[in-house]
Amino acid sequence: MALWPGRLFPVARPRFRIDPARLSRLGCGVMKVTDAEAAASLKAMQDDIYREKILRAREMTPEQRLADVFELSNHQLGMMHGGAMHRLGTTNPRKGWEELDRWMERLDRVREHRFYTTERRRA
Amino acid sequence: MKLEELAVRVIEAAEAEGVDFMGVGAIAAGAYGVPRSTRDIDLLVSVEVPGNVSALIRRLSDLVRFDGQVTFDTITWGRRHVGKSQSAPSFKVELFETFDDPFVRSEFSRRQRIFVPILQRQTWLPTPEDVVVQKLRWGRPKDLDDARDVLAVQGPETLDMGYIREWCGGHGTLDRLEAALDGIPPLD
Repeated sequence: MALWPGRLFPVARPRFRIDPARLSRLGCGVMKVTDAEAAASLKAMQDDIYREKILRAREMTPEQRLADVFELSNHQLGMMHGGAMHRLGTTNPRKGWEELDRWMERLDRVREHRFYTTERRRA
Repeated sequence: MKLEELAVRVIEAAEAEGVDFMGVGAIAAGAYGVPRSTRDIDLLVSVEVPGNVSALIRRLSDLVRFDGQVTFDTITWGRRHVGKSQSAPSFKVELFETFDDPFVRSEFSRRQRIFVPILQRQTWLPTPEDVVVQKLRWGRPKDLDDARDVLAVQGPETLDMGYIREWCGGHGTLDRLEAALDGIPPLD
């Protein structure tokens, strides 16, 4: 990526205070970056990442993109299942799936809040 | 069970019951935009034949447990049946009924048949233009991302933007369309 040749700097405002003296002791320098510069850099990086995703998708056929939907979905669920088992500290896959199911139900409730209702009303 | 296995079972059941349908949601958006993961099989199902959606739900009952209560989205007040697969992992099956709405009638009448190698079968999908209009109409963050992705991947120059603008005008979503187009960075 050739966004900032030869230099690296934080692109988002840190949520914690950086102690310059401590960084200096660690051998790190601190570059002063204004909010506007940071925002512009962040936008440029986001655009670059998005551009790459679009160009990659454009090279695929609809059939290939559909295959990717299924493969990505199975992969992500597999990773989340591993995370659920780790969180529970279990080696029992069934318990992992149950925990993942609980997570997904909570997520659905959040996402569907105010968007779906069981009572039909006219707006 | 993998998501594609469930998709095949749902599609086969719909065909067996004579339910006209098309895939919507992440599957339709992924076909024309940037593929993203999902745990839902979402179908827009025709209710032209009375009782056929109930028959589909019954046919799937050994695999998918549907909630007895239908839900309505608060944008269009369309009916939705939500089911959960009795498998590990558990997936969601959502059946959205067609209803008397000019856009829903239009998108369903324009659906396209496409062969999906991973499913080893043909299935029905909306046109990319209809995916954009529908996603902008619903307007949740992920819908807006999907609409922008379809516009970006297909390219406005290849899409029937007149059709998209006409429906967006009717739905009051032209501002969302412009925001989606503005969100596409130069691709050169």
